[in-house]
Amino acid sequence: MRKLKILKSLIDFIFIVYSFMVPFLAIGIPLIFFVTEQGSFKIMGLDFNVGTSIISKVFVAIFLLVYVLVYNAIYKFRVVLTEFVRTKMFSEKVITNLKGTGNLLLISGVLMIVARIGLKLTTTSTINFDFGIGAHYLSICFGLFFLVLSEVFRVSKELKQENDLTI
Amino acid sequence: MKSTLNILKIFCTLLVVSVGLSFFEKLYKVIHYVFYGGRKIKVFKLEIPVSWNDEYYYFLSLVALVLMGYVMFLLVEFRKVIFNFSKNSVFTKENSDRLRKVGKGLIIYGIIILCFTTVLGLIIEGDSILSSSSDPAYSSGYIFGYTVGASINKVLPIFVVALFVQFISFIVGKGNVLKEENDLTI
Repeated sequence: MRKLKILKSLIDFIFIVYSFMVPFLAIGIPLIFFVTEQGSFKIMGLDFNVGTSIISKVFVAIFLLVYVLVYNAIYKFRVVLTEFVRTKMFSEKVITNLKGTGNLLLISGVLMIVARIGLKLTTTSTINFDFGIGAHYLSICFGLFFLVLSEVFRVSKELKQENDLTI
Repeated sequence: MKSTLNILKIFCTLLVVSVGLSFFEKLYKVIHYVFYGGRKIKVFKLEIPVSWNDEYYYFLSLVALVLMGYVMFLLVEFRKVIFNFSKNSVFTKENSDRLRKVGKGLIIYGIIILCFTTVLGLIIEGDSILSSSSDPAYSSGYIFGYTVGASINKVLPIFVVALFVQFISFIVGKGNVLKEENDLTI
């Protein structure tokens, strides 16, 4: 349980850091559509040249939206950890939030791939797929793992209820 | 759950394959450098200076390759757990032990990465900035803070995943006890 407290502290720290970023994202996403100049920027270690076309702006907006989704996933995961700290391991809240975290991570992973391919296509007219160890790939893996965990916790909850009802 | 597990199984296998490919790619580049020379590969995402002795480069590359191999081993262990999940054997001691091993392994991996990236970052990036700085005392403080911060930023997700996996192993262990109790009840 000591490790759980360390994990909770780490997630709290990440959540607070992300919280500072969210207002800028909320302003930044609509602002992209008003930018008229070409520019380049770096997200998740990737360099992007943003064109003036509306399609490339949509892809950049998707990329920024991924951050908001990840922030939401971290929030849900934080709720799960809070429940764990309160030793409510098999509550409905845990199962729902684990499923929510999994779905959000899965969607962010897919959106990351879509935005990446789209941006490459619109700026350099090339398509390339890679199955290396990237943020998008790991995000999908963790999303699926969280979905599996939510099911595991559902089974555990039933098992515990059965056990508690046995005299 | 079955379909999710099947997709996760495919993704885990792909992850193992991609780490394996990247391991052999790095190994090939190091061997190529030993025999034919050329460009040095990045070690711990840091460019090794040309002025450094080749022995240091070989040692650091070896450490990086061993760590990569270790991560591959941990991924294989994790993959085995996912395969067990798909066989409907979730709450077993074997799964709990495997997940605990993966968690511990990731913590060890994270600590080693943190040590190497901090020390190498301080030596490689610190040297170049300090030599061109007019105020070394001010610059050294900045470099130290920046390097430690960047290194922690790199390994923080690894520690989060490691601790979470360890906690899941604890839950699986508890579930195993519950299941045994349940099975023994007439």
